[in-house]
Amino acid sequence: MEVRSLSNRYFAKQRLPEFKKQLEKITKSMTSLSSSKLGDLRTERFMSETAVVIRQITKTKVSGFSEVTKKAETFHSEVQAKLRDESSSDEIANDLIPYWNLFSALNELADEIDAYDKGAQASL
Amino acid sequence: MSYSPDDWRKAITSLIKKTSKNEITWELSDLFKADAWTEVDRSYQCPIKDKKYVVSETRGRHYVDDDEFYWTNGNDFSIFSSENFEEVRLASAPSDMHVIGSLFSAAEANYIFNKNVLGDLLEWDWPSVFATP
Repeated sequence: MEVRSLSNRYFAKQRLPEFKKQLEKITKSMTSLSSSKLGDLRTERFMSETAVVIRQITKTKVSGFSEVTKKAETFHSEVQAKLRDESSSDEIANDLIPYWNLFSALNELADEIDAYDKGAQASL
Repeated sequence: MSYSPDDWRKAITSLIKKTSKNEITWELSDLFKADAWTEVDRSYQCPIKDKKYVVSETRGRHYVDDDEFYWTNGNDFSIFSSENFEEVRLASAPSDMHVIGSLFSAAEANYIFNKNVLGDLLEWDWPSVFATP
């Protein structure tokens, strides 16, 4: 039991900086893409990248993240549903509320990772 | 009552939204002054009603001992308002929020787009340049 929690902590320490970088990349591209049409967003990579990063962060099993990852997952699937909908392909991403909800959830996640890093460093 | 980090995140996100819709325009600014260990590389301001919002890119010196240091990048978001002909800083966002970095890149993109930096090059009449007589 103890070994498992140690290995989880090690895994988190190893992978979190990379996840944070990825989140930063995704939020930057979300900012620059926000004025494009939903139809054009379908081919962008950030949606699939977001799904992967969220899943990977869930795997680190840090309890502090679970609330935000759940939130991000919900918003992600809302945006995804909107993207799949053919009738809304002319809408601008900027007017889509879930788009910005997802954006701020991802930012929150990056902030949480920062806070966790600081805490982990202090407890060494 | 005070503002939580969540409120800041929401407020800054709405600024990004406005920026990408081009409802607001950003200008270069020198309002924001950092502390002695931090240098401001570039900052942009935008006025909304009676307040000025300033987002900056900073470089901070982190000392490892008496005279050795390394640089760390950061971003700052502050709100100014003019009182008695003087710009007063009302508030600064909690440091190290990632959303500020996004706002900075949005503001930068907005500034260079409104300055039309690529305009002269894009309007270049390409076909006639390559046209063979």
